[in-house]
Amino acid sequence: MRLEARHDATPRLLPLLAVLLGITPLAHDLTPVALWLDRSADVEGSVQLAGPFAAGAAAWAASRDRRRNMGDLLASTSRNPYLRTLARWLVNVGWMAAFYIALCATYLSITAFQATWGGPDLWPAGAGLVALIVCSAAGFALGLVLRTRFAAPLAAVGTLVVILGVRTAAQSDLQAGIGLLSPVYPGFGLGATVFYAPQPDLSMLKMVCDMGLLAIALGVIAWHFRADRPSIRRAVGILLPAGLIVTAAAVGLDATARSDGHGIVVPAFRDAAADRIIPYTPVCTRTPLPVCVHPAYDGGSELTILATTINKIVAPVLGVPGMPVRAEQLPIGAPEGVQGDPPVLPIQPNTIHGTVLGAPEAQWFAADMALSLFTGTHVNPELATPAQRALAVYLLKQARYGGGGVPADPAVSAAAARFAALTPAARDSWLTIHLAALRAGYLAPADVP
Amino acid sequence: MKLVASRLLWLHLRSRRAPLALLLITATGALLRLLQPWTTGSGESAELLPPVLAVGAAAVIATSMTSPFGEPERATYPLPWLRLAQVTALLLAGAALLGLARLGHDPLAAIRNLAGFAGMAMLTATVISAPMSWIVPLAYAIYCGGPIDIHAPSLWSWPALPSSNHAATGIALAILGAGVLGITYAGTRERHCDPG
Repeated sequence: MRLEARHDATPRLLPLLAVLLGITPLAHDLTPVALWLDRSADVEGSVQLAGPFAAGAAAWAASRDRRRNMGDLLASTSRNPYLRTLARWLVNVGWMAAFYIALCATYLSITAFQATWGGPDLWPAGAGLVALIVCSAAGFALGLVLRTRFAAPLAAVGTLVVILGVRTAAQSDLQAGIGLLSPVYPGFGLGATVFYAPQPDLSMLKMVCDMGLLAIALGVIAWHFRADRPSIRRAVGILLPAGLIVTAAAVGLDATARSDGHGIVVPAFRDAAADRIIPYTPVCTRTPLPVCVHPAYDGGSELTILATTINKIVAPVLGVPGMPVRAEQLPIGAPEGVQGDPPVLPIQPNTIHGTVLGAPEAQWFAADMALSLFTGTHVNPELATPAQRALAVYLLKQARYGGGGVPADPAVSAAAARFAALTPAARDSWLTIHLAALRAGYLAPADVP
Repeated sequence: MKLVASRLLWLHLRSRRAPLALLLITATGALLRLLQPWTTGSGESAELLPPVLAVGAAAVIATSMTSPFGEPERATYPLPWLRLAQVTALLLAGAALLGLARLGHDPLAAIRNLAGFAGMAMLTATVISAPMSWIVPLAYAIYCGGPIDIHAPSLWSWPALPSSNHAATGIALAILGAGVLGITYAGTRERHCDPG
């Protein structure tokens, strides 16, 4: 093993991987807000970066004996060729696993200093480690079987194509599909992770599927040496069928998966007793309209950014009967639109890293808030009526966000301009009388004074 | 003399596994075409798949440049012309196949990306070694996933830009020129004891 460790080329790739990690969005996500599950899912997502290199390096290591014409020499030794080759793979994958574990430790250590709520959850990171090992085993098997100089690039590029292709499948079918098994598909509903007890269904399913694929890859490696010893043929006879059965079972369970507000539910792995809401005391600002968030989102500048944006938008309508007395962050899937008594404006949980919100995100968020003030409860703001959009455009323009986030035709723009031309008292008076009818969708842009 | 030259070129191409390389590039083009429905979306994965497959074709071209003979070969016929012929043939075939595969979806961008990534892979083959030539273009393609994800591609991530961006085309051609020049004159780096 020591000799193999000295000869392995993987350590020379690790500095490049470290630099690559430093310039990708993974590094940017290390700024608060710090959510434990979010960070753990980021570590799992790094397989997209490390997996292709693990596969390429393993394919390169697998072809070493052939490149150096060592076949005859090694055939004359007494060692079991399968175990000897596995030792080389173990060293190779050991380097990559050590890199991944170091990355995980760094990520979670930084999170420990930044997080304001909760604790580490290692399921996604563990699923990522198993996926990385599978990438390496598959690359090694390819390097042994394909006796060509092109094995390493094919293994590396092929691994990335598979990861991206499977992930694209997940994005095109969010309910279920083979794409859920991608190592870069988050195993948890990240918008709901702090509100509900995390359920590791999908991480468990991914690990089962990866175990099956690992057995297949090890079986293919054994198959390469099948002519050498009966014990190796027995290993092939166990590993390949077992791997195929486990992988098929995982794909079958994947077909039963469904999406709910908390993430992906795999019935076979769901612990219904543990599926509960986690109580918390929200953190609120002392602004004209108080803005409250879950304490997990209190670490960075998110609360300040949200409070500033929302207060700029609602300022002209604050105090009008029916308008919110508080804005509060609720889990994804909670009812939309102003609701409750006293009225509350719900905010979708979105993680804001850093101290500013990008222009497209700011415009989208501002438009969503402005529309939510005038749409009814349980109504998606994107389905707002023209009259509701007209008042939202007015609020956005007075807050200097423009009206870009709201679809506006000439009638909507004209109604928004007319409403802006009114005195504050006239606006308040009209809204007090007509807000209920406006939210119910009974008014047209022509009804706006 | 002409017959000898063409036979020499054919033997050179065979010794570099050029027919297999051509087959693999064809397979890459076919895969790109097959994945067309998954590459038309706007997500990071969908937009990154075509450049990654271009990296595959580029790495195959650069890897095929490995010489199985070493010093004895260098002592005979001037190799730069043979290398240039090989790289030109594979690049033209790759450009045609990837361009065909992306017909209707900015084929010129696919050709530009192949050119840029091939230049990168050839430079890596010259400096490190041909079988490891995939490392730098693949790392760069993964880096480009970041700007694609946040919809903010710039010249630092030129493969993500449309073919109408002339600066991106210029960068790709400059990298290709450097790569072809390096591999034609210096060949790939060969070691008595290659890494790993």
